[in-house]
Amino acid sequence: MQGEAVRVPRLFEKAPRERLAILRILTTGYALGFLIGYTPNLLSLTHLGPAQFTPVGPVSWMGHFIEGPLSQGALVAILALTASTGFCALFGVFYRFSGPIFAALLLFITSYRSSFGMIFHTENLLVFHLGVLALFPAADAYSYDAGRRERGDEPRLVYGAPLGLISLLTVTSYLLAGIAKLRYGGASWIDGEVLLSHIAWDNLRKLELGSIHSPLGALLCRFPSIFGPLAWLSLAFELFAPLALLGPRLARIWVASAILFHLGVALVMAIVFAYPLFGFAFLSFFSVERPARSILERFRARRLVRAV
Amino acid sequence: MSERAVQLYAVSIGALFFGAMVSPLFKDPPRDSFPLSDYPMFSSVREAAFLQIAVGVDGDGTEHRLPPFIIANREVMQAAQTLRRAVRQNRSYELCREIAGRVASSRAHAALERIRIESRLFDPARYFSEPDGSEPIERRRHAECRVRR
Repeated sequence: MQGEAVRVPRLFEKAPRERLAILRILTTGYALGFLIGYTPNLLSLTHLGPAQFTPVGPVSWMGHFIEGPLSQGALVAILALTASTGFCALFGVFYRFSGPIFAALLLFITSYRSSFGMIFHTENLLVFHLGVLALFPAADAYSYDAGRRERGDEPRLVYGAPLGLISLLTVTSYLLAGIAKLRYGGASWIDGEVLLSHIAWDNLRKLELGSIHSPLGALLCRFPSIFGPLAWLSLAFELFAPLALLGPRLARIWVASAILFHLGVALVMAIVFAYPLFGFAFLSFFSVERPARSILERFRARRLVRAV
Repeated sequence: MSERAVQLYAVSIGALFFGAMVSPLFKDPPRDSFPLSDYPMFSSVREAAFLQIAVGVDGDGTEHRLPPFIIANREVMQAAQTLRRAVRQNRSYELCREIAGRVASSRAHAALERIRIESRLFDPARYFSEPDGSEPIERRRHAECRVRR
């Protein structure tokens, strides 16, 4: 995206309602895709048994009431309710209620997925972003709700503030990851030893457990000297993430680096962080309403031509 | 809602979410969770370590790797944790029988006669870079059970 198309929202910057609405549609659409795609895996968690169940986050309260995983029936009911509210949020149907309920249910589902001994870090940002969106009027355009009420077209703070918050949370999550590397790894991280050991361990574990590993990652492990520069690059990308909030050019560079970073992780570790890899996590940095407007204008023009 | 009220509302929501996100930094000792995490994964050196694995053994005594969905579900990390926990909690034989049950109903694994659960010591620094690096440094067998069809 060029020039003005890249926006770095600040907390108190005004934005058009369409921008927040497009963010709602794309983020909620991604979340629904995740939910539907992972449903078979989520249902298979029921077979793992009570000994495996270690509730984390919001699911922790369940530990007070039940001893093991949810029954298949209860899980199916929760998944169905989550999907239903998700579609309502996607189309902006009573978003004031469907948005928060969907965000809360998805938080529950993703926490439940991490409650069997393995904490997944792939949906952290998604649940934060959905939480912020749900607390603002993200369905004032391109929605069922918008059709019921008249809204002004002028940019407003209430549409811009959540974009700034979402961007702030995005860069903060990467900064936290960078701090953790210095805190736990220190010098070993900087000289590439940690990175090499993790890429090797992750790939060997996948191989030994009969899963898909990265042949590229396995090959790179034979050349330890490349891991020093790679470690520096990834650490700099994470620690300097807040710079993306300072200007459009920096934001553009950082978002491109972030996508490349996740592409690298996918290529050498076969771990796909789909939400950032496919750019969904960084939509708040951009004027996402422009492509939507342009598509709608073309569509309207075609209809007009046909009518004439 | 006035602009001033929106500002106050946005600051409150921002403080709540931002505070929650950075809160794991201030926990001592740090504890990973979801969705609040200090992202400790990939942060410290992985030394040689035991990996718990399940293998199928055919009539000739040849070992075959078992895919994650036979062990737990399609997520390899969940399969790894399932094995690790079973070994730690002395439930290896129980898990072995569960896996054997799934293998028995799988056509793709019709040749397998026994299931083994072992801990194998691997050194990630050698695994891909030395010719015999992928050979376990040490093996500890926890359970072996028959596949009954």
